[in-house]
Amino acid sequence: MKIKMKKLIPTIVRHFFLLSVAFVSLVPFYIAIVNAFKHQEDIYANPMSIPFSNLTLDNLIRNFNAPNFNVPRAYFFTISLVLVTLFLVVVIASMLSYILSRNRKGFYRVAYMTLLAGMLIPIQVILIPIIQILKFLGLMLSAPGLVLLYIAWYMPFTTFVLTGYISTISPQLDESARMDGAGPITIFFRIIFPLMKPALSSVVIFVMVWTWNDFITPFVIFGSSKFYTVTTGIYRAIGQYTQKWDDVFAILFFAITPLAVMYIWLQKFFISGLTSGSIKN
Amino acid sequence: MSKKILLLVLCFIMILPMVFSQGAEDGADDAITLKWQVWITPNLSLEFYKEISSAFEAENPGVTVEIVEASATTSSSSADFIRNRLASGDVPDLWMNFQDVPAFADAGHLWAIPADDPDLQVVNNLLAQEYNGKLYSFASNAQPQGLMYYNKKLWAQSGLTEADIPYTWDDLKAVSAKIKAAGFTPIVTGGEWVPLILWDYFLGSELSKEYPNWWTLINSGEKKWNDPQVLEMVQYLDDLVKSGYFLEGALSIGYAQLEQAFLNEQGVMYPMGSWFTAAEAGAENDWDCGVFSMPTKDGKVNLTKSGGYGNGYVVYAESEHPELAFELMKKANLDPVYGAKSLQVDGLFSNITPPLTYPMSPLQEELLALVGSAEYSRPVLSHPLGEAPPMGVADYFQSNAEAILTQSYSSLEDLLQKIDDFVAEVK
Amino acid sequence: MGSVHTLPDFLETLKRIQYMKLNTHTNTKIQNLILFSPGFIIYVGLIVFSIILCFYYSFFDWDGIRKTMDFVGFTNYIRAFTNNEFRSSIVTTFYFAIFGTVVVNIAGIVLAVFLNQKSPLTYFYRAAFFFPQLISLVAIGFIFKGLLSYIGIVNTMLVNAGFAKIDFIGTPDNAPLTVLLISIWQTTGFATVLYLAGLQAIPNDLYDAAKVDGANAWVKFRYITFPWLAPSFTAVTVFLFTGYMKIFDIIFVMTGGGPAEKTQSVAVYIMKIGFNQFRISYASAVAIYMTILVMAIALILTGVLRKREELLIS
Repeated sequence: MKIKMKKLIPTIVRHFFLLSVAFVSLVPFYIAIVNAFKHQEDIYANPMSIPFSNLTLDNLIRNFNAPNFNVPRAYFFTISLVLVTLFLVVVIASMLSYILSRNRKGFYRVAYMTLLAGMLIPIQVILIPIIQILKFLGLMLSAPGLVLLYIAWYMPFTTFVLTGYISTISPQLDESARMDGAGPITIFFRIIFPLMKPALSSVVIFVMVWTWNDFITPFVIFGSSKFYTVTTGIYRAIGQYTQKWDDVFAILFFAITPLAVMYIWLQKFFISGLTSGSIKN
Repeated sequence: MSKKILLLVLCFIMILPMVFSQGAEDGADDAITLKWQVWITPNLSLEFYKEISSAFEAENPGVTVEIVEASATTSSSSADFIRNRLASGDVPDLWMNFQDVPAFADAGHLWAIPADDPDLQVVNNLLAQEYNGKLYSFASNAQPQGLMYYNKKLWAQSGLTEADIPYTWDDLKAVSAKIKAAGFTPIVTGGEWVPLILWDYFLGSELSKEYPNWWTLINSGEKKWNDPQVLEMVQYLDDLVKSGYFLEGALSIGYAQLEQAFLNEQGVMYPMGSWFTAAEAGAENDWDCGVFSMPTKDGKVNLTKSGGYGNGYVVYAESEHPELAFELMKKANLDPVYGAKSLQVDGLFSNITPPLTYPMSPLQEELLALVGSAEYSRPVLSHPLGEAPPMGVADYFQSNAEAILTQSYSSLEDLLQKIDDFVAEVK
Repeated sequence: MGSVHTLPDFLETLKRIQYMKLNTHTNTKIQNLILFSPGFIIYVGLIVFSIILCFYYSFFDWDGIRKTMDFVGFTNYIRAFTNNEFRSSIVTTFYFAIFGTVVVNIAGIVLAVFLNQKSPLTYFYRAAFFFPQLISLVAIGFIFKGLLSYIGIVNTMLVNAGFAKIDFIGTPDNAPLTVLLISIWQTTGFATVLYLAGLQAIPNDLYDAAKVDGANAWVKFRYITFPWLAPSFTAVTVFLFTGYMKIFDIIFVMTGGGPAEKTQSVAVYIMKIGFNQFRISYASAVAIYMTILVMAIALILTGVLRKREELLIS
């Protein structure tokens, strides 16, 4: 493989450009993470440096169990929340999408339109009344209430993606199964569902990231209770501090690192999941 | 298929702890559980509240006090927190740091406390805190607010003495000019909610002196914010900003940093409420701190303070044990030990006869003397002056102060008009 | 099957066959409903019903505390229409939406084009660009608050290097731009990844044909890449614009809408009137306005861009 001079310069320019952008994308996180291990004075002296001789775990230990933000508890709660929501959304939305995908007339068509319209609704319009509805159901200030709200909230987007995908699965499969005497439920669970992996991985990624990072919903629904997610937890914890950078960055370290590690590990999965579902527009 | 079942099982295991953790909060059925909503601040910690609740539990066997934590990071105000709870149906019995008595009393959510209760008779001017003929709380403490603390060391270094303590607006301008000439920052202030107090204090000392029932006049339409007299007061604040007497970049530092900045001698004067004295008492500053009241136009001392309908404690109307909640309210405020501690941790002064005392720092003694000698003492502008202000008006005080600090307004009349517009809108 | 030896038996069997057919048809319908209902009922019960309730509240005068409310008709809507603060919040929101969408689109396309080469580093770059998307805006808001505060890290470095401090967040002139830049920084990765996928869907023979004709990079981009990216462009633009119109988290954490309400988007304004001022009904009316606005823009944008897609792909 010969590298021609003509091609070398553009390549260098290209890499230089991309490297700078990558640098800009990652530097804030570098600063947050590096400074979580430094003493306050070192942070001020040179924010970008890593003083290997003077690193400390104090900040992390101190903030692991702050009164406002108990890291393990927040993680346990948020992970449970995300997993339960994911599971229920995947099952319920795929069932719904299957029906909507195979039945495009009359009532089901109207239902589909109603769902799509939901994608454009800003959450503010729902936050105030939802408190009354959850109270009516006896689910206010409870985790199941939040899960229920998330399922409802994610239904439009996930149905949109999944319905689009299912329509690319040949109805012939349905037909042959029906010939064998299978009903819709059997057809769905035995045949269609196993084929939905690419679209489902899209959905899983979106729902997981959105739920993990969601702030305003748990803030409003749980505002006056003991529950907090990782996101509302860091708001509670840092809200008081903003000067003690060693504490602030330590708290942020806990917020960022798990997701970062998971991302590095599953990077391909994340990005392919993101793109596979969304091209089918 | 088996993978699915595994996943199903896994998720049910996940749901269980969440669902069950709900039940654990209900507590035992045979004992009485009293829910106390507390307000956590840097001065008022959870441990402090727990001390009081433990003592109360010891005196009342069979009663468990469940502390419900609220703070500025969970809700914008105690009322907001309570409203969220009202909507969810899980309302604490005793609330504190609660400011919005009129709206909630009108809605029937507050329990009237017995004004003839013998323990309450020690409170000075007990019935002055009535709303519509009913008493919902009692003013067992006084919280001076419109104060200017000053760093005595830097004061002297700027060539000023005790005699230079300012009483009038012009006095303040003069000392600020001298301090600036000496190379120091005259007044430190900050962002977050702090600009609100700039409006409350700098204008309030003059405005509430002239019109002790300002909000009654505003609500009835007799007076407007966009008024030549009020404009003068705004111009006074504006002049101070234009002369560069305030800390640079104030709006991007928070309250905690601001306090630290003053303690680290980054400015000479610090407008803040009496709660700062508690922080100063606990801080290790190697300089002496003094205090004077916010200057007024003619120099007459109007020491503005927190107003309202009591000490911020109220009982929920639909509580199952209102009398018990009332007992807890009394314990936290009138008890010789815990009442005194409540005052000490937050830099408050006792408003009962005989007053509860606690070991005071030199600054606190100075402040106490100031309280005793002030000619007037009126509530700050964001609290009831006559009638109560509309809820949320403090937001406009704050954004107006921000606009002045950053000199980003079209006209000062415009800023005042905003408040008038808001009042008209919510009527 | 049953016996057919006697007439009654035969009729019985006939009935059973017909019943079975009906049964299967009904059975299908029932099964369809079973699959359909949970999702739809939850959605309607929580979301649709909430919107109806919000609409209902907006015609009354409720503060969220009183047990009763008075009917006031369209007062709240008229009030919002003439309210300066609401208007400013719409202007602010459009500021973020328009500049944000334009810049992120351009940046996304440029980066995707640069990235679209088969090189091992591509994975690294792509991962790096996308990373900010994964972190919650609350965490990002605090990180940048720490970096850009007047006494924060960047200013410390500036001072150490001999420059003057810059007030990124505390002045009404700088704050909106700062927030906009941070949100652009966070969102560009999303657009890049989507455009990259769109690019990889473009058939290579087009490029080969162009090379044979001696086309340079710019020509290739203008006549092949850009038109073929039209579907991605539609999706990304609509997604970005509607997302920006709802911008909340980052503003709430970094500036709270200030200073002097200069960064107050409509979403932040609604939170303020609803939760600080306790004006639930008024907040509901503003929320309905916001919903209509977002929907209208989404429909218009989608319509216009879809037409463009058709024109270009032909």
